[in-house]
Amino acid sequence: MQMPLIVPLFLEGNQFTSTLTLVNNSTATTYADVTLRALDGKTIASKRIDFTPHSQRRVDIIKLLDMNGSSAKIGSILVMQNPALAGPSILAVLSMTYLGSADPNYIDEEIFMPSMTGSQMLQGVADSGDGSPILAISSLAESVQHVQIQCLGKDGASAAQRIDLGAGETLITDACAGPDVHNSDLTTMLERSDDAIHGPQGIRLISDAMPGSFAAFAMARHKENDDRFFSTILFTDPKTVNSPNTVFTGVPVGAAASLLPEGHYVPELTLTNFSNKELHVHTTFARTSGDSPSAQEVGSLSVPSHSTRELILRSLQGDSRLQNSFVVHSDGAPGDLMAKFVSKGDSRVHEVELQAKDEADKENAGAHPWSLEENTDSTLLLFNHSTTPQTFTVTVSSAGFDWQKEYKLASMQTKAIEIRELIDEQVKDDKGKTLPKNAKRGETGWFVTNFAKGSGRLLQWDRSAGMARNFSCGYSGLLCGASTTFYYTFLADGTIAEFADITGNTCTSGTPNACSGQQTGTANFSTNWVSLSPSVASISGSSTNPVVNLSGVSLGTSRVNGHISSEYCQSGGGGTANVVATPIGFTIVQGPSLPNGTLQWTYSWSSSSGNLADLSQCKVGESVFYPGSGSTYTWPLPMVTNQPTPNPSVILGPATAGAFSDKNGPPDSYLKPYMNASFMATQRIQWECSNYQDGAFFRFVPDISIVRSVQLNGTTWQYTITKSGDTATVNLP
Amino acid sequence: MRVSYKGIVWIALGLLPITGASKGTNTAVNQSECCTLIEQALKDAAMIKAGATRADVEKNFLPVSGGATFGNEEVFQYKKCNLINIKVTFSSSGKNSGVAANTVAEASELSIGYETKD
Repeated sequence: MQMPLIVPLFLEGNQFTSTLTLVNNSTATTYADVTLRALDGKTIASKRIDFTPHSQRRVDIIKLLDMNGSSAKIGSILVMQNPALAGPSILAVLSMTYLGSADPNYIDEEIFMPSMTGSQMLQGVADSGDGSPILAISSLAESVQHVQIQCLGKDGASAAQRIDLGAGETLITDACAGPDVHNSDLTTMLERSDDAIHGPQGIRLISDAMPGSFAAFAMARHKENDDRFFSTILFTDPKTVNSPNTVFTGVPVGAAASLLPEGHYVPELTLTNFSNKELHVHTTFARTSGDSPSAQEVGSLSVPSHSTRELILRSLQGDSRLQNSFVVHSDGAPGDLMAKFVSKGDSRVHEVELQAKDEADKENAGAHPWSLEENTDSTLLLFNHSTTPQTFTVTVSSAGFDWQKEYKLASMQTKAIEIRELIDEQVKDDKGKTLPKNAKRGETGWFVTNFAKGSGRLLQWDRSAGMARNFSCGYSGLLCGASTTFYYTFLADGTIAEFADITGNTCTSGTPNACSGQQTGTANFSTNWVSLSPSVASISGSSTNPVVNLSGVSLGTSRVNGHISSEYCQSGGGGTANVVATPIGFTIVQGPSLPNGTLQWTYSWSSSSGNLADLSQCKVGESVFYPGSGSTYTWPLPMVTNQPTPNPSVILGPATAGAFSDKNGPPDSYLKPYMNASFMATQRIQWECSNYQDGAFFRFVPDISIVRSVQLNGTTWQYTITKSGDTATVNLP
Repeated sequence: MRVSYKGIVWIALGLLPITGASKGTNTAVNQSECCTLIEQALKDAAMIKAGATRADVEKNFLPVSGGATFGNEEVFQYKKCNLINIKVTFSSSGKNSGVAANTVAEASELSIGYETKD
């Protein structure tokens, strides 16, 4: 049964606004049903959202509520994609804005994907705040469940409570203090404060219902002078975590972050140890200058069992384009240590929040909404946290146009790709395409062939508004087929040519080791080309590139197969290479000039196979082009021909002849009074084989100029023909 | 010289009234100067058979002054109308070697077309 995606909390009113941004990462035209639920679980609004392939849609929550006549201001959101889709294709983020602080406070709530194969537990970490985090727990179950809430502060367990969560209900509570606040109004909830609760908190939620029965989201309260703002707490099922290490991509570090309001940004790491033993943590800072990464250890600490610690990295200076990433290493088991990373600024942006990604995450692809509307910019941030170079296939889509380019990132390299730059500078993708100059919004994606090697996020930012929004939705991309293109079926003997290419089809299925699903696009995978008859046609150069060059060795036919593979899947395709003979070895022999002003030539060639009879499907000849565009050409007086000359004059004969003779004749007569006159014809000597490159013509040599003229030499009028440095002259009668 | 199928069609069209004349029909066409010329060209071309000499060919036909020819093949124009052409293949390869090739091995049907000068 398909599970809905859930946003546990939306807020409208009380200075909050909410916009749900959805993307379709697939190549399909599809839809998703968006349902708003009140706190009691009743449906208060719904709408079907249509998608074109690789597109984004936005839903203003207040408009949807108004359209459905609902006065609700708080609740949860369910998103159910078209069940016909063969994998998770619709991803979403709820972008909330709190306008009650001096500058707008941007709160990004990534949609939660419940899993029946997970555990009954969710864990999250709040950075140091003022007061208890505001926790929203939303039920996906059809019966009451009981949820234990545990908070782990600096000194260990700081609070615990147990709540009853009705079917479909969303419960708002102070996570680490106070009683349950069922159905309390938003204003009361926001105004409540508990000055006794300070500092960072880890939050663990344990349900007695089946796995996948609930989702949660929380906001940490912050006070700064008389101002207040919120940061987010995203929850993770520890059973879905594959490694003890955590990755943060594209972090503002130090001064003058060029994408953000000017200021100094200090990375702050909050770590909660949910296990029963002390954990030892060390942090690697990977900074990239230009395309050169460097990595250094920047801090280590021990985190006692069931407690939370902070690591503030004040002295770091990073790349101003956010090409900075961190890897937090722990000696615990996967899920034991959870990390929250914020970069605190002294500018209008209080905190830039980074979503934690499991270093061994099976999400090797991401899909994000990009926008250049109004003053917004969008920057895709990619991080190769592996020990080997990795290729990131990046796509940028807008209104049906897809741009795709591979970026190779060295180990520990972070790459910032600014979409405005791609458009303004008309950067070409790997097929030479550029994005439309008027493109303003769309979907962007990234894909790494290997799992657990790369991560990425999209930053939407506006320096003038102090806005920095984070979009980190990922999914498991897989190999689900191959597209093989053979440029030709024939190859000339003795030549080397680009013969074919192979591209993998990428899909999403929700299961990393599946080999089929909903297609998301294409990418290059580990490739191997093989010719089954290398004595006829052999692979020339690399056999592991997507494009293969083939060498025609001898006449005959060979099967050529391309094979691609990923960690779990393989695919491929094959074609036939027919090696054929073509004319080669063109030679020109000049013959004697005739007394009437005729030049004579003999052109000869051989067969690439050594046997002229193998050229039975080939023709050789000439096309002579005369001035003008008419189908015939009349020579200028005083040169006279008995009839107009065909333009062009085309003669083709059998290539098996091995040679043809050519005469460049004079006028048939001359008409008095004589006068200066001349014209130039262009002779093209060419060949074609019906069994080679669709019978296209190929030139033996560059075009040859033939110049004929009548001029006075002293007192004698003469006709002269010149071609290839040879000249014949006759006196006119 | 390009072999023109269009030209062959025209020759064939010219033959129709000649054939018809023998049955006593359409006398206005078969007596035209054009048909008489074509009929004469056909008769003269019929003289160029395997074993004929170059001199036999050049009695009524002249070699064209320009263009490409392959192997032992040469293109000739009808003296009385140089739009009418015939391709003659000689039995020796003397042409390219500078030695006159004198014996006809094969002759094509007549065709029409402008002369190629190159």
